[in-house]
Amino acid sequence: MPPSKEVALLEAAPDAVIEVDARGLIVLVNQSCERMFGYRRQELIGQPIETLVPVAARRGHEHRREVYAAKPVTRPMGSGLSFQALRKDGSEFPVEITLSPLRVGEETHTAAVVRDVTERLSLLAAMRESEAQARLLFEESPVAAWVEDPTTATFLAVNREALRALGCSREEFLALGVATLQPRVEADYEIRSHELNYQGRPARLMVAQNVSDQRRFQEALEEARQRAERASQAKSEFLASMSHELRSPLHTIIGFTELLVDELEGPLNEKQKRFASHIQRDSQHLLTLINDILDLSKIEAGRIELRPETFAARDLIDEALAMVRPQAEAKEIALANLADPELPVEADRMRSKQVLLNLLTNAVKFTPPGGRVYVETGVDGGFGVIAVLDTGVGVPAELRDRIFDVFYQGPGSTGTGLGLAIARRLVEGQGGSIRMEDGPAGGSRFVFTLPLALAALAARRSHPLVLALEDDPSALELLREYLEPEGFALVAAGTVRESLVKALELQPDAIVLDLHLPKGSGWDALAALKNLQETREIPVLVTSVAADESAVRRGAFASLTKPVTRDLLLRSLRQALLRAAE
Amino acid sequence: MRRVLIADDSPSNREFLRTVLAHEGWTVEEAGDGLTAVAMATAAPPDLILLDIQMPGADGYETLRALRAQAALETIPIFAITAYAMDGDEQRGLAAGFTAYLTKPLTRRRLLAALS
Ligand SMILES: [Mg+2]
Repeated sequence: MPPSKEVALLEAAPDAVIEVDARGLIVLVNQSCERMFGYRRQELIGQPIETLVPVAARRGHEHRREVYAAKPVTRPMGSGLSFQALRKDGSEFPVEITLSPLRVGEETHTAAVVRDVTERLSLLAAMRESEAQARLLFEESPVAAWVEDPTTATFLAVNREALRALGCSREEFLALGVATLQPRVEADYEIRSHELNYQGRPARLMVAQNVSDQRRFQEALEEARQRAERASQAKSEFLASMSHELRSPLHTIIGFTELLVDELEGPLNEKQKRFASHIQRDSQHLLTLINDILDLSKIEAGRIELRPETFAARDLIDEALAMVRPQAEAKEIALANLADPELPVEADRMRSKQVLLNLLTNAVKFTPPGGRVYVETGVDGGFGVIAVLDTGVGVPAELRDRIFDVFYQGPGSTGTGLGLAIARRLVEGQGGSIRMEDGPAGGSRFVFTLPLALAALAARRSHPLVLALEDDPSALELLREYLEPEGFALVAAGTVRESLVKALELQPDAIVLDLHLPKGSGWDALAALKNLQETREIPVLVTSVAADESAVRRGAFASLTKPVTRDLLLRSLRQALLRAAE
Repeated sequence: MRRVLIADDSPSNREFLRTVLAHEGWTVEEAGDGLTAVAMATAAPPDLILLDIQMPGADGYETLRALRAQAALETIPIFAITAYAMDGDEQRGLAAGFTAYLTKPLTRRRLLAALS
């Protein structure tokens, strides 16, 4: 039989409900009471209500019960939150109690509704704590702050730092209007506004950060920048007017000397001709010197703009060789371009030519008649290598670093002493390097590097492009030594991610993959490469310490056991390329 | 006879240009400044004008604008002959409307090559 409506309601109530008779004995409790106090109801029925009251409070409770019995009305009890109740296990907990008189026959019973307020109290305590913290933070903050009432434009609160900064008392501040404060702080402070409720009203917390130091610093910085810019501008203007003023008289000298040498206005005698050609030669030298000084000044002033473009090194070499051909032929020096037909570099074409021309001019100058000057190319890492070789006198080892210094002039040199210094700056400015070494058969070998145009290289396939996923520098170095002399271009990736990016971007002809990487697994790279449509067809050679044919099952072209010999690597790579080409 | 007008404040450069061009069969007329050059070219449009850039009064660029503003001189070749030879100078000259931009020191060979 389902319980009556009243019983059902009673049992469902979240509060403990206890009925007590006139003598103070418990008549009825509900489920919540059992749960709250830890008794089964049989244990409570018939017991004095004081069973549920802490021992120390029992006497007081009995007294209050008598007072209540004299004037029984519905009223709360313990709303001052100081009432404690006692569980069966002896623990106490705070409660809020509402009492109502019940008429039962002739007797007046009392119904007590008991609510456990443990949670509410701790919540309240936490709120008080955090409020106190917030107040402390606000008050003691090293940043000036105050609270404004936006509707009345008055202040509701202010912290110590704001008072200190403004040099006024709390009362003075709070008497100020929002409008009066604004002009006093805006120059030095950066103010942020936060909406919040303050004492039950919408308000604004204003946080004012003193930025005067920061602003002063920024102003100083800006001034320094402008000063540097002005100085650089002045330098440029000086260079431009210098260039103009030097060229004008030089023009007269060079122009008229040429007219004399060409005997435009009638023949000269032998001596006059010789004199005129002395002037001609030295005025040309003066012009070179002026051009070099201006060039170097521009580079030093940071006023030179390098515009990289993609071009074939071989074309550049052809052009530069054509420019030194007259001098070479006069000395019967043979010139040769042994460059790779398709070595694309990405560099400033004009400036790269200037570098090459300088090296070629030197080579022709320092090579005895009947000698040989030639240019060859190679690949080194991400760089194209251009080497100028001659059969000249060479440079002693101890001078090799100094020849790239400004105004260093080698023994017997007739140059300006600036050409190689400029060349070095131009090459380094493009990320390359320049050095001098012994030629294979005596003479000098001047080598400079320019960034390879990797994308163009990959597209042209003149050098098969191999992407190596290898994080060990020495292993990479070894790969390089194996592959580059054989005409392969090598690009390295240190991480799986980098290898995927480069594979997608460069579309290499083959990939060499180390299966044992500390970070991420080579297996992941293999899986990803074989998964992506764009890279699926690229043959992958895996290397590992133990032969692992499962790599081949997962799409690798071959699995090579470390240490991989040069022959095995080259043979496998060539097979892979052949297969890919089919 | 082809007629060339040279405008340059430097007598020595005028003499250089005159010598080279006279030898090539040109009739040479000279002006020491830009305004005179504009007046002369307006009176009798030549076949070629060589303009210095740095001149007192109207400089080469102003002179060029005044010349190009006239219908009769709109399309004739006008060369800049100048010692302004820094990066960007030539591009600026060509953009302004010079037919060619020749930098000093200028040799006879380079001038003749530019004329052919
Ligand atoms: Mg002038």
